[in-house]
Amino acid sequence: MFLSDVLRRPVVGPDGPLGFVADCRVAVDGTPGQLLANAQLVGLVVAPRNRQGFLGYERTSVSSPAPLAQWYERRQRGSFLVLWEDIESIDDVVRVRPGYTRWSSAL
Amino acid sequence: MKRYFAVALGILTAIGGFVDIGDLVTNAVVGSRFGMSLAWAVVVGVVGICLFAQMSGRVAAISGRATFEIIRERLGPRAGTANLVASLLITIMTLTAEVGGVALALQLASGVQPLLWIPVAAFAVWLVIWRVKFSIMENVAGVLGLSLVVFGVALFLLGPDWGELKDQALQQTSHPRETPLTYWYYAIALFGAAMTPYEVFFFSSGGVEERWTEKDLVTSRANVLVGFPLGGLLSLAIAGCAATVLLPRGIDVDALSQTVLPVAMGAGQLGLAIVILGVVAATFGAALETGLSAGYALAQFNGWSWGKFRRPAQAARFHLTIIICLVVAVLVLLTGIDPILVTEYSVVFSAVALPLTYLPILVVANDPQYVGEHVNGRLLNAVSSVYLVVILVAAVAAIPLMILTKAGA
Repeated sequence: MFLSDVLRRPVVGPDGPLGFVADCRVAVDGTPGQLLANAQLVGLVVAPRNRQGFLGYERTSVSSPAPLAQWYERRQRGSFLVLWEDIESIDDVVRVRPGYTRWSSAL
Repeated sequence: MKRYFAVALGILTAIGGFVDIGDLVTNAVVGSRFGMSLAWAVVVGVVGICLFAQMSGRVAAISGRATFEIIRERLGPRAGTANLVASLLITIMTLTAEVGGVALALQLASGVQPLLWIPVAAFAVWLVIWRVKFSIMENVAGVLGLSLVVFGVALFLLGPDWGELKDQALQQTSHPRETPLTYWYYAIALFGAAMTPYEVFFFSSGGVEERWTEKDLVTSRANVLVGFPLGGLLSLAIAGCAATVLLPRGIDVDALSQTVLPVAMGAGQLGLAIVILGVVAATFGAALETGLSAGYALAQFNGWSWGKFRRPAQAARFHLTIIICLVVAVLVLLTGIDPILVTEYSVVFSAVALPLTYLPILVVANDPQYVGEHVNGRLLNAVSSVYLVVILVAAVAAIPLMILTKAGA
């Protein structure tokens, strides 16, 4: 499966639609490689309305220029991180397991 | 001493490199129809290109990444591809206009039909890109392009009514033959001519070619902040010449010969010879830059090895892209389409495509992961945020105005 196939897919929870896959989170803590360790998928970022990414403004350390930062902050309001183990299945829609946790998507 | 020399040379090439066929044609057209009353649009465009080039130059110097590497990284594949296609189309269109401009200028010098010059011009562009060292290529074209200063000299020799030109610029005298819609259409055209996207692709990729580091930031800033405004002054001189000679006589500019006519009247045969040299150098230099920019954009986006600092065999797809773009430009021109018309459309479409590259550069120039401590300051962010709005408005308004005014007719 390609990551670009998963991005922008609708996400459905046990109680109905949650939004769309806006981004993914990886951690570079897999098997050590020559330069870096392998990346491991931590989870998917789900945004209620926005299918596009956040241009890097999901990082709390970046807040300028102010108008752009505020625009993207508004666009990512309500977005959250679902861990990979909480994902039940991925086909046309991404299904999330019952009892999943909404983690903060801020970095 | 060497450093001062580098700064001076950089400024000179920035002045010569600023003016291309888009500036030559648009400023003359506007001068002949509106006098100096759209001078403000040139000023707005010059400030914009200074902001844009300064940011992308800084990002290139610190992060070692050129514009399209960043666009791919920040926008992702889908939005990035749309961006690439639009930017590449505009760049090829501009390349077509520049090659046509070289042919028209050579026609002025020789009397030989432009159709015969087109393949020669394109072949020469390819040969220089293939063989000549980057720094030599850039400096020779830029310094020869400085001959266009003769527009300024001619303006003085023509002895215009300076008060009248000033009134046109500041008091917005009326133009009985024009409508407000054509006024705004040409404002966007001038803005697009000054703020052509390829200039920024070329500037930032050139920074990587010349291996800029943090130490070169001062040089790059001086090139931009001194060279581009002086280039803008040259644009205003072109418009001023047209406003003095062509406007009162009701002559419309639809050929390159009319652009240089005021120079011939003001500075005589010698002036004419110098201005033709200048036009050949400026359009040829811009054809090199646009050809390279097309290669840079596609190669950087796809992660191919690119750059003139590599041998062509080591950057084969980069060079192949340039060759294909040149062939496309020649084929388009050989249909007999008027290069001046291509130019007039290319500057307006430049304004349409501008937000696509301006936005990612603005974002990344604020990202410490790319530029460390050299992120934009508050003042720069305030001004560049205002410009984001200006650029968006110009981009949205350009096509409707083009349709409503029948492309400024």
